[in-house]
Amino acid sequence: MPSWVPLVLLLVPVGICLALPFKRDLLDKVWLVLAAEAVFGIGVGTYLALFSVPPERDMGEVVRIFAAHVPQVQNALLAVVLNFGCSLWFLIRKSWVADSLAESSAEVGLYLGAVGTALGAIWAKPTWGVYWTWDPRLTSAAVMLIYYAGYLALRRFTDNPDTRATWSAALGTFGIVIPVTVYKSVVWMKSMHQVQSSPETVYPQLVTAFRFSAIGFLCLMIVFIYQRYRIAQEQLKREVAPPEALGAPQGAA
Amino acid sequence: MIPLLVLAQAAADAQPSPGQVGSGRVIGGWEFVTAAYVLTFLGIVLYAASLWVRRPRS
Amino acid sequence: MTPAETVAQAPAVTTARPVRPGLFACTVILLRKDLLLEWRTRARLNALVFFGICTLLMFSFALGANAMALREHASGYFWLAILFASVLSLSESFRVEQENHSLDGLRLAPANGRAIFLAKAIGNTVLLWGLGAVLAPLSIAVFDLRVVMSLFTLAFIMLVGSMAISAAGTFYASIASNARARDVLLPILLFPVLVPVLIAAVKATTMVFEGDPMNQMESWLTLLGSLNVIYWGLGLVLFPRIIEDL
Repeated sequence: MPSWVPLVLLLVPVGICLALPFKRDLLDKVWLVLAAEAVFGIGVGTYLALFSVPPERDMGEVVRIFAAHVPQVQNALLAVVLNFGCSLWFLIRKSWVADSLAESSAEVGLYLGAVGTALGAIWAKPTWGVYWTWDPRLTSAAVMLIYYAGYLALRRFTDNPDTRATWSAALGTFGIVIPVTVYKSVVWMKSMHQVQSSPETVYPQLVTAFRFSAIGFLCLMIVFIYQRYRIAQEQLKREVAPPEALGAPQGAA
Repeated sequence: MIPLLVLAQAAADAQPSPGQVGSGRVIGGWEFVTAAYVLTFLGIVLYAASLWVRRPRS
Repeated sequence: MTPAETVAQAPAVTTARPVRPGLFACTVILLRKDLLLEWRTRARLNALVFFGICTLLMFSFALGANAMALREHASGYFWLAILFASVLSLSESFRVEQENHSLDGLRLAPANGRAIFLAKAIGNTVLLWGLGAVLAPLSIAVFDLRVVMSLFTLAFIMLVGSMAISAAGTFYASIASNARARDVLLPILLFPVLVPVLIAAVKATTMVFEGDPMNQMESWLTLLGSLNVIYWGLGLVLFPRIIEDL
């Protein structure tokens, strides 16, 4: 299979994301399509990576981890950047959509980042001989996880929705320093971790599998953020609406 | 023929155990690959379950 | 002055409304207020110095009498002592304002939000720099260090480092001081963003004690400087929004 085939799949999530600003409730219907594409992409990517790709010259079998490790870390960074965008959006125009979206993207980013970092540790054992080393890339990734865990903790510890939104938006805006450090750490500082991969430097047989998996994880991230967003909106409604004992009219919120 | 056999024997002796480092290339290591993919799918299932548990009921 | 005369003067007072001070004047006034408060009690300064010394000595106790290891990592311990002490100093600087709701008073004064940020951050910089000035000779003595470069370089690194810590720290302390569980929250939020500062400051300080054969000092100082620009800029832009919602 030529390696451009999976890129066709990219049309669906990109198209949906571009259409989203014009039709806000689009995802209510099509999220199942994205979920199906996520299952398909991750399934095909995993199958190809595990069973069809030959072992690489230096890495041997463990090169197969690439198709799971890189997409998750990439999407975690993407989610964190989305968190920054939404935080900025909230600070400029006080939008509750932005607040909920920032919360969801931080949580999904934390989840994907945690799993991605754990996979990196698993991969490090056979190639570097240790699970963890205090190398700039790994350290900055761990720092990012701690920061966004703190971000979510702050949201938990603040009861007033207004205050919570402003503070966490400020945190999210300030926090952009960290993903930039993670992304650039391999270039700025001497790191054991290799620099960002590009299609030219990746093991060529793996590119197709990687692209399937990456697009699958992209769809998965959108679905997860969307579902988490609905939870956040529901919670916001419950906090803002008066309790029913006060005689709130039905369906007022 | 005999030198070839000796070479083959030496190669077999030099064969490092699975996942061993130091020979310049990684041999074996399927258990790491399995662990990585199991962790990935476990993560997806657990996070999806947590979203399901917290789903808005309205 | 009789009460009647006071009443008679009242209109004159209202017409001569005081001019609202600009950003710079406001910062100077607030900074004077903070430093005066500090100077009158000197409680925080004393606590900081003793806490810093304690931390510094604890590192050497924890490592045992391994003089080589201590000397090698001395600048790391030095900056960690400052960093731990900064958490005390920062949360205290906002706790003071919470008593009697004086932060609300300041905002109604009306003081510019940016001026409050600048005053707090500069005040903390001064405190941390002073702490560094006490701890530096102490660590040189305790860890048996030789100063290869000039002491001015060391003072400059300490200044830039404490500026970066104070700018980010003031920003996060203002948030954390009002949330529940603030004692946990401030380090959790602050330390991650200070990691680059810590790395750069420790590297630069190490060069003061061990020489700089590779000429790397300039690049580390540039990194510290650009981090300062980012933290002070973000703090100035975001801080007024935060205190609106306290």
